[in-house]
Amino acid sequence: MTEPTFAQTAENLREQIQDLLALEEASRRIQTADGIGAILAETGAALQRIVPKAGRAVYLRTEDGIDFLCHLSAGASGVPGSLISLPLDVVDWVCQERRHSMIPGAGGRAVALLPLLVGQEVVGLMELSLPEGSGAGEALTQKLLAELQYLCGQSAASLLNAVLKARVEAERLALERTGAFLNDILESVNHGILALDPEGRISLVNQNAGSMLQVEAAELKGKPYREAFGEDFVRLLDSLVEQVGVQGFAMDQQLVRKELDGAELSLGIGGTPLMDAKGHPVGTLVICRDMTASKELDRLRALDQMKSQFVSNVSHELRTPLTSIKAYTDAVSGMVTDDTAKHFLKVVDEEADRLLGMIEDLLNVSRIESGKFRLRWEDVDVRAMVQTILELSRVQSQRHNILTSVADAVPATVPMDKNKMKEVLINLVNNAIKYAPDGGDVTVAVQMEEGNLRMDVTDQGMGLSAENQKKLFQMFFRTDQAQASQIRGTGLGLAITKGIVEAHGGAIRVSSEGEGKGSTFTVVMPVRSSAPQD
Amino acid sequence: MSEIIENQTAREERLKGIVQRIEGLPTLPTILAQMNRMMLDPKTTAKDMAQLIASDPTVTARILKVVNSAFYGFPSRISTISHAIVILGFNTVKSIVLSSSVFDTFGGNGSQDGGFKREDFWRHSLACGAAAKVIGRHAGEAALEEFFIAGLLHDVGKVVLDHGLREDYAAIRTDVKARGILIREAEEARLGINHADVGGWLFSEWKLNRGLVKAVACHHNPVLADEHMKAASIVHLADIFARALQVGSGGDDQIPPIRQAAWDAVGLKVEHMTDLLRETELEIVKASVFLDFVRA
Repeated sequence: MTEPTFAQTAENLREQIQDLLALEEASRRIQTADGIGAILAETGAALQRIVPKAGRAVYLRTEDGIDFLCHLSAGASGVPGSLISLPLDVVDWVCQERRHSMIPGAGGRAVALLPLLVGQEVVGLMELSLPEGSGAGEALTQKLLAELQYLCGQSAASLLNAVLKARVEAERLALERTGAFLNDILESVNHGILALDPEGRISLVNQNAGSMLQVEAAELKGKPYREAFGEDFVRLLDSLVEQVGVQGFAMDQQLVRKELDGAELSLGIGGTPLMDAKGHPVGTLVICRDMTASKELDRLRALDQMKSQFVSNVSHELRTPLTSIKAYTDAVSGMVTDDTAKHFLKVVDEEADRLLGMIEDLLNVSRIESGKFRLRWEDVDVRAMVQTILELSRVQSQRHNILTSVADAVPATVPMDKNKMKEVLINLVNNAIKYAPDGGDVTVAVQMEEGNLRMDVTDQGMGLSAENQKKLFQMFFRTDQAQASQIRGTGLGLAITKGIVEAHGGAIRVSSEGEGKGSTFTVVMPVRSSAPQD
Repeated sequence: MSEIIENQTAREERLKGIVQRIEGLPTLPTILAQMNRMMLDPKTTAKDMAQLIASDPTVTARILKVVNSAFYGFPSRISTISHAIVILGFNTVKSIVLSSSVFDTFGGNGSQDGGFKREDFWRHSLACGAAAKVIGRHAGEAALEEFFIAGLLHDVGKVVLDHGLREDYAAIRTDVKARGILIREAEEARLGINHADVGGWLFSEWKLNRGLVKAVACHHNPVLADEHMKAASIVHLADIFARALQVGSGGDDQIPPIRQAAWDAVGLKVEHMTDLLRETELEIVKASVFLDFVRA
């Protein structure tokens, strides 16, 4: 190797200075570019100048830090928006050793992979695809490598900044959305909310509080509450803040405000300490409730109670005259001999019975509602009870075929309230007959199921829609079908049945394939070892 | 401060006197001189450099052996020098050539009285290189192989002295054994300088980069390394790590104290010590390819 001449050295120096200036200019443009896209564009332009014939791609680490996503590509293997497709072992090696690598690419090209380093951290990768014929050995000089590494460093630092900036911006937006959401909640809640800081200044107030207290919410913020409100409310707040400070809460206090239209607005005002995330007190939270709504609720509750009381009283009062009517009818029917008169008296007696039954139902309903429903426990012969019901039902309808079965597993006696449980079965069998006007089979099956007594009453009647099955046990509920078929009923029978079953600790349910397909009522009740002392 | 400067000047005079006594002082190997010159030209391509290296089959074989070893752990085979240069860079390849040259020059058995075992010496050197690489990584440094090379060659002054001043060095070894002192102390006592001074002087004569020169020259007293104090401190700690791991021997079997300034400059944490030593052991295994230079 011969020593270069002075002219050659000078020319070399001039070239180097030019290259350095160009590199410095590229670096400046990368540093001042705003956003990832602009930085990538400037990096791409600089690469174009340094290695004009090379394809290039820039990858950035995915947010989870595991993979690399292509952000820019021109004539290289990377596809923008896709993960890196270069051999993973080489990618890993480049990241681990934090140095560039060279691998054979498609079509005889040589692919250089350079890490984008900020300190020790690999924030991304740069891929250079060198064309065929300019093999890596000829293409890469020490100077080119140094230039590329410098460029990678500049680009990496700017990209990391941009990525962090974008992340901070995203977090700020998320925070803003959370803030807006919390504000929506604050303004949608039905109460007036007022936050006071430890110095007694109003730190937050929602619109509801403003309108309840007849002040402009926006003007209150930052003001001491003693200057913001009228005398009576300030006095109330004083005692509230004191109570919260001393005992950690404050019971609701009443405040009546005159509305502009003269109507009175009754407010219930309570307080709780305002705590930060660490549980340190940072003020007092004052909550103003509009008591109008809860007063309405009180009125409804009183009305409901009155109704229950009424039903209970009236049923008692109705029963007395009816008992007299029955007694006298019975007496008179013994005296008359005329067949027509006898028939009429029989109708009167039957109707009185029906009325009595209805009154009994009403009484039961009020007992169930008031919780005064008591059971008289005794050991009951279930087989005998079913037999009785069978006989009663046969009398009731000749068009229906009543079938009963009691499984052997059912114990000889089961503790229950004999009369009430009989009423349950009668109710269910009567319904089965009533709602199957065209006749058919009615089966009563009693068996043991997992230690429980299970009684199924199945009919082939008009059945029930899924919708009606849900409402069936509600008081006074009657299906449209039943009403259309003019089948009489009060809508109380099944509610009472359910009450009785539940008083026994059991449950009742209905199943039906649908309208016109019959239905099955199933009562399941636990079998107690002996009648409880109740 | 002024005292140190005065001492340094006096040392430099003594050092000059010592090296003048050394006969047949090794000159910069030709291939390294040529590489140095080529690297001054920014237009030198990997291919140009590869052509130069290809003229020395031993060096070529060694470079390919090292670049394909576990030391670099590159996922696919590197089969040409230009590929090696492209991947590992000009400086790395130059470092490999440098260590190959040093091993060639001083690798064979030294004094015949058998006191200074080359195999043990190079094993200690290798351990120090491995430790320097690990410490450099923990200290957040980037050019880790440069620390490796500095660690690997940090004691080159010992072989230079053993080579050139046989009688003196045999006496120094006797002192070490008889008095149970550090070899550095024995060198100071007998010659007024130590192997670090000689190693630094040699590499400076060979026009190697200043960081390497300072790391070697100041590995026993890193505060003197100016802007390269961190590098010198890393080699200082690495030397002590290698002794603590008892891999090979640096001429005495003692563990000198760590200099506080060096510890502070590197910024390691005491609780990482176990990790550091374990990683160093692994790195020694990976770098063992360099020992083949001596055996071959």
